[in-house]
Order: sequence, then structure tokens, then C-alpha cells
Amino acid sequence: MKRKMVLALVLAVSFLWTSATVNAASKGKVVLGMAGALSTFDPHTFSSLPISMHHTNVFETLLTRSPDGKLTTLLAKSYKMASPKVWEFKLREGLKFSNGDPINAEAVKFSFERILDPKLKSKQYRYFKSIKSLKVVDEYTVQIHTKKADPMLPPFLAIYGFIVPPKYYKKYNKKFLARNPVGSGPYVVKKWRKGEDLVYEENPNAWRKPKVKTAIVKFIPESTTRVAALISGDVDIIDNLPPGLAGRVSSSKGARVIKKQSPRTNYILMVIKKGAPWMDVRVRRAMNLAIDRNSITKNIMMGFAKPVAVLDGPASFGHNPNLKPYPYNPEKAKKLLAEAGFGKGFSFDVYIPRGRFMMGKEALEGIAGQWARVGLKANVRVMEWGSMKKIIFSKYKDNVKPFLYYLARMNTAFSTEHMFAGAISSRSAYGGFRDKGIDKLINEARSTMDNAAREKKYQEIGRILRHEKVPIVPLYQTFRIFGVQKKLSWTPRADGKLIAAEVGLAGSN
Amino acid sequence: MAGYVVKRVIQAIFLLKLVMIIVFLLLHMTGDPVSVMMDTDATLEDIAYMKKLMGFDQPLWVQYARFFKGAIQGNFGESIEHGEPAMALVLERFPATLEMALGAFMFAVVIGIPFGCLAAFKEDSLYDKGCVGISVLIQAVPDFWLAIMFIMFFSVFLGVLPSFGRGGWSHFIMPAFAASTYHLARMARLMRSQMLEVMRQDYITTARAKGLNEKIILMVHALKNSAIPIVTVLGLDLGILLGGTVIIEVVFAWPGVGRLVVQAIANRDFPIVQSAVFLMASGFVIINLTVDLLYAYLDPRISYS
Repeated sequence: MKRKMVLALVLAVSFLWTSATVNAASKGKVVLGMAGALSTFDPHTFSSLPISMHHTNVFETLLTRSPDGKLTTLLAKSYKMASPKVWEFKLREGLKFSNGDPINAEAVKFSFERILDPKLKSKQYRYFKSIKSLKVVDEYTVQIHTKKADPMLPPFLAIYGFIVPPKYYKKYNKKFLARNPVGSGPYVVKKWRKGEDLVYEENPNAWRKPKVKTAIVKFIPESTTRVAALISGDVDIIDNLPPGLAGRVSSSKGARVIKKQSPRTNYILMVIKKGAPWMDVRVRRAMNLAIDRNSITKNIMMGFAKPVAVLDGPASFGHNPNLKPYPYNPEKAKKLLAEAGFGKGFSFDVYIPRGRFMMGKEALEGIAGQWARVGLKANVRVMEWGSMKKIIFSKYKDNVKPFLYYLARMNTAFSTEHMFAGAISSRSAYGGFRDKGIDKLINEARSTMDNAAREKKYQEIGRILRHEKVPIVPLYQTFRIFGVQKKLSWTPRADGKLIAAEVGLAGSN
Repeated sequence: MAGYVVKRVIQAIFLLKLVMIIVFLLLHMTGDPVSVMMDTDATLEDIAYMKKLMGFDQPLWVQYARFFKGAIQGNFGESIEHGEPAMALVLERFPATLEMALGAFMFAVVIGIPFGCLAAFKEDSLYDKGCVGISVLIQAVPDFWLAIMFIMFFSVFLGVLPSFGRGGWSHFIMPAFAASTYHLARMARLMRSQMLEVMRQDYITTARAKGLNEKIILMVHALKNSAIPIVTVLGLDLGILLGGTVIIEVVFAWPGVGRLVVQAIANRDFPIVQSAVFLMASGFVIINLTVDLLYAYLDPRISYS
């Protein structure tokens, strides 16, 4: 070790000069250390949370979410359902893209047509597959015609469907556009080195100004390094702070921890088919009652999670506030299992992807321990994500033994309907529950045009799922945890996004 | 000699083709990009639609034929996630990987070889035992742990080095050293054992009997004769380092090929993986050829007829 210490000293002395360059952000500049990778700046090809967090700085959608999660307008001044199959949008007038081109109905039409064009192979296609055509009514009025009535379109217009200047996006090829974005957001991209860093500068034509003139993003995949960079002052704010490292940040001199419940719901799904003990609803109920959710969120998630009753949180449209998470009642669980003929318990596999969901493996091991107390032997299988998906897709094959699997999903659309469709409906690629009655109810609700009536229907479906059908093991919503220098002024968003243009310095505005 | 090189190059082409087929099959066996990239709210129809759009619903041999046709023209396809030509993306990351690989290689040579020689020279001394002990320790310590300790000490505690990223010398020193530790320690131990073996040879005894200076014996006679296994291992080490030191790249947020490829494997972004594997395999082939040619220089008894 002696040799290392000597080396350490030599290095320390010879690089003392660099300390001058390792200073914190100056005025009018913030540095963000972000975990997720950014693969493209083409706003129409791909979709993921890390990508949309960046695209939101440079591009704008027709609608958006306010920081507290409410659906509101952005490039659209107002919108209405002109007829069941037609959504009509009035655009804000006189706005310009960063290259000076006007933002008008034509640009909106072009942008959606680009996403829907099969040649682009856009992953966002499925959010807008209900769109039949777009119609320019006048310079600032545009209509979206859908194949059938689609009351669920607006929440997706607040996430994707970024509006771009047609001339520019027609002129250049896909490869060039992946690196050279032009939009109307608060920032423009000044420099971008993939996997390394990204420099945002204020968009001179922006109608919404960013909080600071320059924002620099450093892509730091390893959480320990992100924390070190924050504590040493190399960056001003970091996302994806693991609960286990939160203490290090809060005990540091310059930084603090900011947490916010995100719409990321964690749950365990079951392959409900012949031969599964959990074909019997009593067994499914017992599996839910045997879990002490409060203990898991408090002791394993260190308070950075909150139990949920079904799949959605309070901010979601269609959420039923009267439903409570399953209580912890191992005695009743044992009784239900005995009634169902499984008094001696049974054993099964439960899959979870490696390193994908915050503290997922630890929580699942805790849950397996609680199940063991009522005689259920869960073998926790940690899998690589791609391989686990292969297993999930094989779930209904005859030779596949029924299993359980842990998933988490971000409800960025704040839509209970969307959560149900992705986990409970039998059309879902990921769900393990098939019930014609529930499918019918979901379809009925989806085609109900009146908002209040539709909300009621989802709340009713939630009640049936929670109390009667028990198709899944709902767990909790995890928090998004950030490490933030005290000199910053920043409020976390309900959708969990860290948007550079919203990060400000304390004292200035 | 020229004939030998030509023969090796032809072998290399077949080897590369074999590697590409194996990688193609392995990747397709473990899943397809569409299933991996579709979020957990996708319906079965969504997945089927995307698969058809991207051509992953076609038989495997059709997909391979399409890939092969592009590859022989130097076109490895477009990355699914990035929407850009895959080979260009890999090449863009290559300078960062090369920088760290050469740095780590340099540390392994400049530190590992002299320390190993000295240990052999002073066999069984306290210095020798210390060297062997430390090198075993370094080899046993995981490099990511060492890397994090470096960051904690130099960046957080002393605040003298930047905690991550690529830039000037100050950014380079920690990752390159952390990436070199395993190779450095192994090099020192290998050097030591090689030297010890050579020092027991008759020609060293002869040299001593002639009254030559110990330094000359060590530097001229012993060093060159113990070099063959060292050159072989150095070649392998360089190949491994050029493949991207994934963990070190992740810890230091170093924008190298390793991180790109690991991400691409996780996302089943086949074109990137295939481009990178092709580059790495080519690199290994070239390095191995160079090593083989160096043998002849080091030991004139070796010839390539």
C-alpha cells in the first residue's frame, strides 16, 4: 500500500493546478449530472424517459403537464373536441422556431405526419395510431381526425408529438437530423458529444425563457460517481440518486436531497392460467395480504416509496381515492390459502430484471421473506431485461410453468386507462390476466366521451380490480430522488422529469 | 515472410466471417430489438407492427443475408436507437477508448516491467516479497472498487482531480491507472518469474564468469531473452484494453466504445454490436500478427517459412 500512498501524494501535488478548473458553475450557468443516455435528438423516432427529458428543452408539444401534473396547453392556445372524431387546436400566434421559421398549422400537420410515416419507423407511432389525418383549417387552426373517437389523445400530446419546422426537416436526412435539432423550446443545442456532455444555450426566438442562459449536461451512468461529482462541486444537480447514497448527499456541506413521489408504479404480475395455484382468487388475495408494504417502503426503500391500492397514484386521471392498499394480515392470508387447498403452501418463480428498477431486487427479496411466513416459497430470479422479456412473452405457452414477475411502469400520461390497458387488459403484451368482463369495461370507458363519466368508469374498474378480481400484486410508487446544490432554485415535477430549462440559480429570478 | 503474412491475412478473413456469424446468431437467440425497446405498456399488436416495420419478422437467414450483403460493402446498418450508421457511431467513440487503452498499457509497461525486473534481481529480499504481495493484492481488488476509491480520495477528499469525464491530463490519469492495475500487477509478476528463469540459464552464468557487470547482464542478456512471453501477454492485454474497459468507462463516465456496446447489447441494437465486434476482432487479429512477427526479431531461431 505504501507504493500507492506515495503515488497518491505525487499525483496530488502534480495536479494541484487542476483544482482551478474544477470549480462549480458560474452565474448564468448550471451543470446537470444525469444518469440516462441520450441517443438521438430526432424528436420523432424514439421514446424513453431520458430522451423526452432532453427533447422537452429543445422542442415543444401542443399540450404539456404543469409542474404539479395538470394537463395544460403549450403551443396550442386552446383545444376542444369539435366532434367525437375531431380534436381542434388553436395555436398561439406569431411564434417562431429557433431558425426563424413560423410555427403554424402546417408545421403541426407535418410533424404528426412525419411520426406516422412508416418509413421513419417511429417508436412513437403507437401513441398516435388512432390518428387518421390532420387538417389545416387556417394559419393557426389545425384539426386531428381520429379513426374512432379517442378521448385519450390529449395526454399523449403532452408527452410526444413535438412540433418541428417542415422546411428544415424535409431538407435534411435522418442521420443529420439526429444530431442537429431545430425546435421552439427554451434552449437550442450548442454542442453535443454523445455519451459525454451536452451544452444548451438560450434560444433567441424562445417565447418561454429558460431559468439560466447556459445549461450543461454531463452524462454520468454510475451513481457513486454522480454523487462524488455533486459533493466535489463538479455538477450542480443529479438525478437517480439511489436511496442508499441519499445520506451522503444530505450530510455534505453544499448539497441537499430533494425527493418527489413519481408516477412510477411497481407491481408484481402473475401468469394466470391453468395449473397456477393463483387461478383461485383467494390465493391471489392471500398473496397480497401476506405482504407488509409499509415495512418494505420504510425499511428497504428507506421511505422513498409509497404503497398503492391498484396501479395508479393520486395524480392519475381515473384514480379512485377511496381505495386503500391491501393491509398486512398474514393470519387471514393463511386462512385463505387453507380454504383454497394450499394450507401447506407452494413454490414458484418470480422474475425481476437486473438493475432496472430502484431497489427492486432488495424489495422483492423482502417480499419473498414475507411470503415465506405464510408458506409460499418464492424463488427470486434476477434476469437481464431482454432475456426476461423473452420469458414474459412465452408465458401462455403450454410447456411454460406459471410464474410471477416484477415490473414498474412510469405513468407519464397520468392516465389510469393507460395503466390498465398495459397490465390488466388481455391485449397487453406484458399482462398475465385475461378477463372478458374487464376488457369490456375498459373498452366502454375508453369510448365514453364525457370526462366526468369516464373518470367514474375507471374508478369503478379500479374498485373491481382491488376488491373482486385481484389480478395483480400492486406494491408502491417510488420517488424520484435528486441531489441538488443549495445555491440552486428548483422544484421537482410531478412527472419526475428533470428538465434543464427549469433549473435556476437561487437569487436570480 | 511475405507469403506468411498473406496466409495469415486470408486466415483472418475467414476468422472474422466466422465471428460475425456467431455473434449474429447469439444476438438473435437472446431476443429481438423490438421486444426490448417497446415499453411495458405496449400491446401485442404494437409489437407485431414494429417487428414487421423493421424486418424482424422475416426468417433468420433472410435477415443474415441482408446483414451480410451490407457488411461486405462496409455498411453495418443503421443503429436502431440512434438512427445513425452504426459503424460511424462506434468509430466516433474509438479515440476515447484508444486513449485510455494506450494510457493503461503504458502504465502496465512503464511500472510493471521495471518493478518485476527489480524484484527478480533482488530475489527473496524484503523488496521482492513486498512487490509480489502488493501485486497479488492489486490483482485481487476489483478495479471498479479501486476506481471509486480513487474518486473518493482525489476528487471528493482532496478535490484535486475531476471526478469524471474526458478532457486533459487531469481527466485521464485516474481512469487510465485504474484500468491498468490488473494488467500492471500481472505484468510485474510475469516479468519477475521470466527473469528468474532466465537468470538460471547457462549463458547468464557464462556471462557472469566472463566478469560482466551485473547491470549489463540484466539489461542486455536477461531482459531480451525473457521478452517473448511478455510480448505475447502485452499483445493480449492491449487487445483487451482496446475492446473497451466497460466498468472503468461506466465509473468515470468515459465516452468509450465499451459503454456504447454494453448499452447496445442491453437494447439488442444489433448493428452497433456487430460493428464493434468486427472492429475488436480485427484489432485482435492485427495485434496477434504483429506479436508473431515480433517473435522473429526477439528470437532469430524463429522463422516463418
